[in-house]
Amino acid sequence: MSVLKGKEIYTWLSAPNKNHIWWVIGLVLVVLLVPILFRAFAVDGALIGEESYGNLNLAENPLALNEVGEFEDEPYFGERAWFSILAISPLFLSKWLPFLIGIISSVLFYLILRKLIPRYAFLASVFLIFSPANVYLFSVSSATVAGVFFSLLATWSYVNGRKAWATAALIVTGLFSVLCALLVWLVFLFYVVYVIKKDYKYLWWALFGIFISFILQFGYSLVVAGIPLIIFLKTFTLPHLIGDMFTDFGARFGFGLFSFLMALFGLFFVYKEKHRYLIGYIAIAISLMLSVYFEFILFYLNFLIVLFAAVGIIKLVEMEWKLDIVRSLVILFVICGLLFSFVSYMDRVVEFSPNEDAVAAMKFLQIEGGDSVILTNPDRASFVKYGGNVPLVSDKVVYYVSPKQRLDDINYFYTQNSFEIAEQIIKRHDVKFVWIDDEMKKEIAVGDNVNVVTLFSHSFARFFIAYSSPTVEIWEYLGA
Amino acid sequence: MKVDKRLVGLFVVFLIVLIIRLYFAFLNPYFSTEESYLGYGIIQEMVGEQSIPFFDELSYGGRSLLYSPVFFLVYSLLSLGSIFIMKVLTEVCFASMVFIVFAIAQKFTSDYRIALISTIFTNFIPIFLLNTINVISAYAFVIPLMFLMFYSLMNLNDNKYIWVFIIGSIILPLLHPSSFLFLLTILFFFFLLGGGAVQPTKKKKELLMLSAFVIILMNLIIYKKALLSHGLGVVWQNLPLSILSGAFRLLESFELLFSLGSVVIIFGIFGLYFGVLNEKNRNVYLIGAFMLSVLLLLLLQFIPFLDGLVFLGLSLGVLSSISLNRLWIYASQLKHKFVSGFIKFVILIVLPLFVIITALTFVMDNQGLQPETVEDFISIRDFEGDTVAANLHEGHLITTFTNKQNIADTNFLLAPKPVQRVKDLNLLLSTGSKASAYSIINKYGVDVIYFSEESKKMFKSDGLRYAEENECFERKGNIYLVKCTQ
Repeated sequence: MSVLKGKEIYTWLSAPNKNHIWWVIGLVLVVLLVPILFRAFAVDGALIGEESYGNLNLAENPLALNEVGEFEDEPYFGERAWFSILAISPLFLSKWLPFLIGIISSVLFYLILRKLIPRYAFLASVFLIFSPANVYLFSVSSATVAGVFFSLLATWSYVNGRKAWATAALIVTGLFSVLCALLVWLVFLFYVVYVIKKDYKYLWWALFGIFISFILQFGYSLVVAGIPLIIFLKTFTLPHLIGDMFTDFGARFGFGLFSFLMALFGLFFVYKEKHRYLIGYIAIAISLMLSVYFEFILFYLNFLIVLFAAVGIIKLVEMEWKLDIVRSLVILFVICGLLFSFVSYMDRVVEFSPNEDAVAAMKFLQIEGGDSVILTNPDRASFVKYGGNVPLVSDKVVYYVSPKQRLDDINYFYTQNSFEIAEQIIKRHDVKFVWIDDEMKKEIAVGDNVNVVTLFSHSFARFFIAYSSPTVEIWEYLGA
Repeated sequence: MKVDKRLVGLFVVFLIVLIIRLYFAFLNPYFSTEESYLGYGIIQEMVGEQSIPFFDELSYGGRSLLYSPVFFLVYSLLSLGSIFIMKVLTEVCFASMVFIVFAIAQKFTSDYRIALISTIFTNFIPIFLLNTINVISAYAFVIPLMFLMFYSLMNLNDNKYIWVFIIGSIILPLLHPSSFLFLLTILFFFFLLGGGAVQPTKKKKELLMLSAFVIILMNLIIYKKALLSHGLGVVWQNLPLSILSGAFRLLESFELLFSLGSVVIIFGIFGLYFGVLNEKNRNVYLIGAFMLSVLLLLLLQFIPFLDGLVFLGLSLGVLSSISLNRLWIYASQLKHKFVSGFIKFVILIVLPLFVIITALTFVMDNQGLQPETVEDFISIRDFEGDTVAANLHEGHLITTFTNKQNIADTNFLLAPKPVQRVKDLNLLLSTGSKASAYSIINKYGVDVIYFSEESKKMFKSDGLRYAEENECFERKGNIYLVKCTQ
């Protein structure tokens, strides 16, 4: 009887069914509501992530829309569509627009797969909904949200034969994120060249459109300020790659380990069937490596991972097994593994930056800071800006005056041994407050030096703890 | 009732191994390693408080503990906190390897005598004896279970072994993170068989797949907090670099020779060669995959050096049965009776005696923790104060015997600022500067400093230089009482 029930569930999951779409909508609605509710109860409804606050700052600050960056005479460098939309109602849309787009995107993903490979459509969509990368993407106010949505819209239009619409959607993607648009264009290029071998003209139109949107958005900044300096804050190492890829290893977003394993399993089956997509596999491997620098790639790779994971699990069930009990146990443990990654990730949502203490620190800076210069890690820059203050280096370091010098100063400030040098750096940049939190302390403590936190505690005459909570401290420089 | 003589022989070997182990275990009233006292503390708290401790108030001045409690739970239930029972339990568990190794060797050779000889070889590997006598270690369960799982994989035609393997796969990750070694073995096994010379059976593939998923899932659940906190670095257990280089290091040929014993190395390597290349024996591939995993982990310094040597030695010991069997068959085919008899005499009498004597000499020369050190710690309990400083390896002795806080110990997983604390501790015990010493004493509120004989060797000094002719310190043998702070 139980075997029969298992078979029924399997058939319901894998055979196309009209009700599946309602399940997709219901599931995504519930899953995406959870982080919003968790944050509402635990951290006073604070948004998730530095990027959300970065965009909120831009949406709330009309100067940003008038071609002026955080420092005077520095043009804003970046796409404008997302925060321009948020400007209608910054705080409300920052929270609910990603949620709404998340629901539509999940449905689009299901519809695309139902058209192309109906057998895996529902299961892959369920995996997508429960995947940490998807939860994160549609809980954070980021231009990538819209980029991904329009990419899916372009794909959906294309698979339904509306090629002109697909081209238009791809160009619109470029208004939110040129890099997203280029990535999707490359995927289309691969599909057109290697698989269908037609529709080239749409490709060229799309590329032309993306180029125009790039010129419209970046042309002025490029002419006024020249080519920006791009500083990669990370070095490429295997632990970095793995640490950024798997949420089970502490990544802010990425894949669950079990869905990745299932995807490898699915890929193994597909790979055995055909070798002709070797270039595609190589491209996936390169994309994975590039994701250390361009995190948005992970959201796109997540679509592939959940699809292959669905293939993997269906093949696993369909395989001929010698030992039925082992099959049942394997499936049980795989499902437990997939659920574990999701539950464990949801458990972390409350702890995501900014946490309760950081939110209180932001409020403190809003009241006490005025427009002071704040020295902190570039990752916290958007929190500092949200209070109306000026961070020494923003998360977007492209057009600052001597950004490399500023970054070096910040790193040196936190790790050196000399109080005099710390004071020199503070005076050079006219810093009033220093933001230090637990995560930063952990990074600083890795070195062998007596760090600046220790120096502060010995210099109460010049530094004073203006705000203190279990995980965040703000030190005020009182002057010589 | 007729008793099988072979079983009697096997039981005699088991008794010999057990008696020798018990003799050495009870030679020292305390456990041989400092790490054993971490387990001892947990077991005592489980028995006393009847709860699983996840916070240690004394270690690092108070810190979270992260471990899989199953092993300690079983020990506390069986021993009820008695050191005597704990010691017996450990030795019985490790001695049970006699039966498992015998069964595997019998599978390889189908020769009772050879299987028995290789069982003696394996159970008298010097580093195995030294590392596993008189300790509290999850390896007491892990090592026999892992080899039992190997044996089960070799006998999948019997349904009972399928269940043994399934249950073993679930229990193994609950005992210790070294279950990842088994996971790696599975990967290597498939990799080795990928060549196509030998194919694993479908049953074996299915069971190994199950085992892989169970191990990954259980470890993710148990070590979730550590994985989120340290990421991939969790394999080094948050060890400071200075300690990492000592505990996780590369193989050196002489060390290998003395730790594993020349006989086991020679016969083991030849056994591997014959099993893989001549016989193309699937079961040898499995043990070979296990050895490759250990070697890879040792090479990448992902596994503590001594643990790696133990695993390597046990695998070589099991494989030695194949080459011994070949030599036996070769000797039997010789026309010259004297030479044939001589070779058999060497195999049956000389080699086992040589292996046993070498191992016992090795163990007698390395007695581990000295009772005098423990007695010093017990005397510290009567002094006033809450915090004791001693070298890092004595951290667990501080918490167990003095019931006072330590600055640092060797349990680094989730420990607060271990790098800074280890550095401070080393500075406190080695510096000549009064200012540096007072700064650290004040920082951690140190009341007593213990400068053991081991510390004297470690820091090449007879005592704390800053405490000489200093009225702020009162010296009582190796113990310094802090009288004032500045």
